[in-house]
Amino acid sequence: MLELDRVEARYGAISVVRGVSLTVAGGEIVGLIGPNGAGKTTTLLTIMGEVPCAGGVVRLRGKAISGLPTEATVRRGIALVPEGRHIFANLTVAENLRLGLAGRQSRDGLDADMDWIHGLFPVVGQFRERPAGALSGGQQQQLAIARAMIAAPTVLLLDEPSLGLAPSVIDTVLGALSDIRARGVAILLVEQRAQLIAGFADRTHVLSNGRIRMSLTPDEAQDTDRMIAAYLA
Amino acid sequence: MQTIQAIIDAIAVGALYALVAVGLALVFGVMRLINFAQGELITAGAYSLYLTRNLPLVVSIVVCFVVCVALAVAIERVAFRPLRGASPATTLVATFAVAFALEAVWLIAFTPQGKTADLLSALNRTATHGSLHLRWVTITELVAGVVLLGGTVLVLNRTTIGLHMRAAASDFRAARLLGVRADRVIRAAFAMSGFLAAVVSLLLTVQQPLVTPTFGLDVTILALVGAVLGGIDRLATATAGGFLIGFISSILGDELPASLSNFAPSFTFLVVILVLLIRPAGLLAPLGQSGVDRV
Repeated sequence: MLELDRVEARYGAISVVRGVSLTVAGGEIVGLIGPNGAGKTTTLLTIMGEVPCAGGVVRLRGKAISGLPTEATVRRGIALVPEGRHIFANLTVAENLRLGLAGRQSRDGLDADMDWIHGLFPVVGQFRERPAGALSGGQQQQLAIARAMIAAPTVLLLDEPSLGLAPSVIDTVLGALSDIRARGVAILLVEQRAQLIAGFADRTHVLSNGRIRMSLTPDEAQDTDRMIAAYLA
Repeated sequence: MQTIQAIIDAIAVGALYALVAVGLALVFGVMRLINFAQGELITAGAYSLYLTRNLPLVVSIVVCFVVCVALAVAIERVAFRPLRGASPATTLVATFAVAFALEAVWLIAFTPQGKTADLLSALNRTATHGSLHLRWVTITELVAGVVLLGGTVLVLNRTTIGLHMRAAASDFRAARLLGVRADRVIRAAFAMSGFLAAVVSLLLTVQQPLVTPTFGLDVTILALVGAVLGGIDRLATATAGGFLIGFISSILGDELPASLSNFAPSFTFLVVILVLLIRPAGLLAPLGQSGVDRV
């Protein structure tokens, strides 16, 4: 579904992503973990076309999408839930959800999708006329994922969705991601909580200094020594 | 009764300035750019009225709208789109460059001498109600102000492009990451500002039919001051600020003795400086809000 082939990205002269290769198939969750500054967020922004791809290629369903503007990337079927959620606080919950339609290719099946999303995150239906800024952090995170799913993406990218959330809310979010995966969506999940994600994702790559240093299966999630070694690489 | 008349006149002038301020705030909202070329749109509309003065009135008015909207969209496409992502200082200089370039075009094409565009001079006739004497243009300004400001609010709150514009004004990058098309949103903001400029052209030529190359400049600068005074990062406060500055200018123009009326703009700007020193985010911005990055 999504394939990164020796992708590179840089800010000016500074190389931030250095030859990252990974694949995410439909119905699969792939984790991307690593220390601050490892290049995780930049990798996601490069996939979205927000940061120019300086080398290598990003493919979606076998077709190169590197170089497309961000809006076109979204309409091809890739949605990003950014770090910090970026909810529009002055708009209502319903308006935030409607914004998700901007990236949707067709209105076909929209009613069914809305029903499914309301079932997945009842909070977005419950507070639909409330300003999104009045929601709690956990509710905003649910709204951010719901808004991304309105676009009916085939690939969902999430940047630190557990940041600042209580453990019970993290469970809710991870549970929702499992349901989204069950619909055949490919999920690439960037996180700081290494062991949590390594145990949850189908496989997890450790990114350090712009390169993938190690890949872990859920069974290897408890191998703390290996993970620390990769972080320090 | 004279006071009531002065107040009604001032409200009408305020409505005119509010329309200019809305045009500026719409573009500022989505681009964080103060478009100094907005005044040239008004001038272009006025010159189009002069050029089409021998055509039927409806045709003249339609041409005025087409010219203003097309020029606004063209300026965005040719001058500002290639600079998207450039520093605020660069884009600010670009707006000056566009404004001066267009002013030079007006000078070459129409000479510094004024051209008369008095197509709607019938609106200078007076409607009398008791001892109240109102010019029809005053009534038209009031109606146009209410209808267009209401229409702008409706577009922003009830349409998809309006929702996208509000989202882009709040966080453009986040909006683009959702698939909101930057080009379309910015083009819509410029087109709306062009539409409003056309209305201002029509109304201004009633009051001052002599069109010169700086025809739209004064009203735009004062409306900009009003928008900044109110808080240009919010449509409502920018509009209210534009209205306020028009209202105050009109009252000062009416009430100050002749010997002082020449200094009315100086008094206005002094008040603006003092207000912004105390409330950098604008007089009408919510309490506690810090100043926005203005370019």
